Amino acid sequence: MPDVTELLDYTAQVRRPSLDELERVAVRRRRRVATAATSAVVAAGLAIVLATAPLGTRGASPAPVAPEPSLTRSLPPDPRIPTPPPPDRTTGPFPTLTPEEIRSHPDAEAPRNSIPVTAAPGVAARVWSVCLADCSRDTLHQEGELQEALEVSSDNFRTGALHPIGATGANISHVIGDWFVTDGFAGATLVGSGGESRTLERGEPVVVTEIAGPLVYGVQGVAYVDLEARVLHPIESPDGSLWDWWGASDSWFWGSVSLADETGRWTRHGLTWRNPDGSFGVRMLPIGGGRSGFQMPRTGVPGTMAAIDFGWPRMMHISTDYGATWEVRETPLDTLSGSRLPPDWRSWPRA
Amino acid sequence: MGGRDLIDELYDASYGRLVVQMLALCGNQADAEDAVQEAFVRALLHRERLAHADRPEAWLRTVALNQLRNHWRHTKVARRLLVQVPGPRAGLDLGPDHVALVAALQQLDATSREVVVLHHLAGLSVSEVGHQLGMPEGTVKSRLSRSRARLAGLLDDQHDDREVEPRA
Repeated sequence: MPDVTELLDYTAQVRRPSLDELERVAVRRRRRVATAATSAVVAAGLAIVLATAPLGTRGASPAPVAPEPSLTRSLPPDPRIPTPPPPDRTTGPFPTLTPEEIRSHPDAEAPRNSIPVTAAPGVAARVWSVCLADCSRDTLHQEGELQEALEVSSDNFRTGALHPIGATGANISHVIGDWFVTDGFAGATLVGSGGESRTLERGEPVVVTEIAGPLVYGVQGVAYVDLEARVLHPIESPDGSLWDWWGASDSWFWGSVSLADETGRWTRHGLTWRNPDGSFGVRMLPIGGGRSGFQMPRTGVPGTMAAIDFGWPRMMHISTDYGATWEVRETPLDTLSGSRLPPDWRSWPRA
Repeated sequence: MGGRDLIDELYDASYGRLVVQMLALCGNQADAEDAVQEAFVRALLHRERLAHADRPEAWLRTVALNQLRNHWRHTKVARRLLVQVPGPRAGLDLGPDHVALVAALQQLDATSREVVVLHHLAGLSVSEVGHQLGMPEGTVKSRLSRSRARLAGLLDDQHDDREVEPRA
């Protein structure tokens, strides 16, 4: 029988791509994260964490500044607006289209989903997109190949305002009232249903000790919006992303959240999820610091999420109703690295 | 340090080793390379995290391991974020015994496979494996013992099959 360690003999055979190539992927990733997150946001109807309390470390909550309205209602698509022909190559370069050109483009994709805002009836946003070439996995990194525009409405799209998202896409989150934040590599902007837009500056990362708002999802992950100063502060944890959507990798949008103390040490872990109405839910679980002892199995069922605490005995915190109720089950050891929540979990003893 | 210097060094020293470890875990070289490349892309994106990691290679391994563990590439969003490194991949020229070994590893349960790979291929001690996987040392030891026995049985069976095959 060969020894397992003999496999290491093949290490020298492994051919590496150049690190420069991976660097280019990373650069493209920075751009595409915005595009992909936008799609995820729109597809999932993701909206907001909208709370009135400030972040624990941020002091008193600033009153939102309502920028002076300067209504520029968007018009219906104008057939006279010329649309450029699609390029004959998948490599571009691609022309930069205005939001109106995107919406009136013959290949424009009608928004399949919008971002409704439960707290503000009638307020919603949706993304118009047009693919100028292939837009497959192999070509999507071509800048400008997929172009998108954001439409924001306060009356369920009877009227709406179109806003540019940028050639590399942007993350879109509701902030307050009929205001949304678009955050892409072109910058962060506060946009309203009346056509107004206000640039947001990028601020220093802040460490969160309590969950509060307003929070948005930006290029650098979850970010806190200081509406008074018009600054977007990324939220940081001492050892990685505070919010981890990747950990779940599930059929719906949920992930983990970790809180840190003033010294930057993790103190608590929890789960966060997108409710059917597009809002965020957050539940801190009795799982202490030390991220290595906490994992999320995929559930495959919207509304069902679980966190396995690798303490001893192993425990699973699970909710099947979008966080409305939770239960704790003693978990068999062999679920340690299982990527799927076992179907028989209800037979596990309650803790 | 936290820029390209550190990552350059890690890339030269660790890439092949990590690919082999991930190959042992998932049994597929392409998936293994994807996972390791993803780890390095994340390292390039988050240099400061890597710079502050006590053991950067362990950080990379954990990221790569999580990619495999979560089957992350099957999600719609993740598909759009896949590492896209052009060019053909060169397949490892594994000998027949080692092909059988990788195949046998895939027949272990996922936890046991991780225990075996972390201990035998990543060189982690029993206590380090236990810490990483959140299990007591005794459990790690028993898992290792059972896994070795199971692997031996699987490889013996395959050996027997190969001997019987010509007569079939």
